[in-house]
Amino acid sequence: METKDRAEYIVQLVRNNLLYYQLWTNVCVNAEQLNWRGQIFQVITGRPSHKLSNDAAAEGDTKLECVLPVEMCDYKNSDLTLECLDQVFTKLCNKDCKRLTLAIVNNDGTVMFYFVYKGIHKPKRN
Amino acid sequence: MSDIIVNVTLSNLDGNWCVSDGYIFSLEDIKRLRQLGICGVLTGTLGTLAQQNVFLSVPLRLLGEEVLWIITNGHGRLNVTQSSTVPLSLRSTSVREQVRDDNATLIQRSFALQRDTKLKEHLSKTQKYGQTGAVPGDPALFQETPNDSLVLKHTRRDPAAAAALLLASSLLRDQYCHQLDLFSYLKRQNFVVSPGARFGGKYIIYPGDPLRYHSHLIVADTQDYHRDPLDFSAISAGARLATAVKKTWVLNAQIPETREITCFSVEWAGFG
Repeated sequence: METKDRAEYIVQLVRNNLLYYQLWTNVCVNAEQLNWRGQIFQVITGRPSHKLSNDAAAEGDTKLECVLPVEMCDYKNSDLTLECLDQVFTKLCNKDCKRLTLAIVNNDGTVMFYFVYKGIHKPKRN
Repeated sequence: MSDIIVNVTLSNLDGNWCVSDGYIFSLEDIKRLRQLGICGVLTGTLGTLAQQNVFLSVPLRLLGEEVLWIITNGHGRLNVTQSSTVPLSLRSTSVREQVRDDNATLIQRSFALQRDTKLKEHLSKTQKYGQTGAVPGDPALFQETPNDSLVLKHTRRDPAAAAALLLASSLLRDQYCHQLDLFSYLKRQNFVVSPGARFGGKYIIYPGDPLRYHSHLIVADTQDYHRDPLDFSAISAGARLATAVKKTWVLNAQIPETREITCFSVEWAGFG
């Protein structure tokens, strides 16, 4: 598959996972793209079906989350450096976006979700 | 207030000079370091019971970057010993005899003190029970181990010592300079930094004294801002473990152009 098709496939896979498996609503693939050393990154926004951490309780309702789909590379290195992550935060996310959700797609189709905060962030309360 | 003295050893292995980690022997200095948020690791055990490693005592062992932080911020100074200093000093007959005599006096004094204390203890006990029992023999009990080296105090300050100090500082700088920026960045935020191997990271970060707070962060190894790609399986392992022990996994790099430290905190989202 070509890079562009591959990127499209990964984004669609994560979108479907959020929509039909995690039961998120308002799931929307943002049109903006970041071309980084031949790789294309795109952000998905959506509203979780339940609150994701107790820290959010103080803020009230569930917020729109920014999701960055990436592929777990077993045999070749990924090109996502910390510099690239900085670019994603500045170019693809809203200014008031306080965290990015990294969606790591494995080659068997499973998706793992990790919160990435810019700077040093205390662990969430459980 | 006097400087905190950080002891390092300089040794020559196959023509290459190397410097040891820093050790603190003075209890007073250890207290002052703790107030500065440098806790180190106690490593001292008993010569005769080397396998006992639960209740460790002085010396306090410091990380290389901690030593560098202490001396570059003017909190203390290095005291450099060369690994050959002790055998060289002991070549002199007068030093050897002096050390032997000092040692013998110390031991005798310690024994006398112990006999005295034991006798008093025994007498007070027998008095308490209204008996006047026999005086016990002298049990060989505790022997006090001095904190200072009996040999090193006989070494004279010589020009070679100044050269050794320079060499040790420059070796420390070469070895730990690239870690000092991250370390200083964390210290500026009033974090207490301790070694992180227990959690698979480089450092573990406490928001205050480790006796009062649980740690919040595990700092991963520094990576190259422009070149090193993220290793997703390492991030997955680190962040899962960190979240399971109520911490976050901190990725970090130094931006070469500005020398600024940039960090990203990662934790498991709780689903998927």
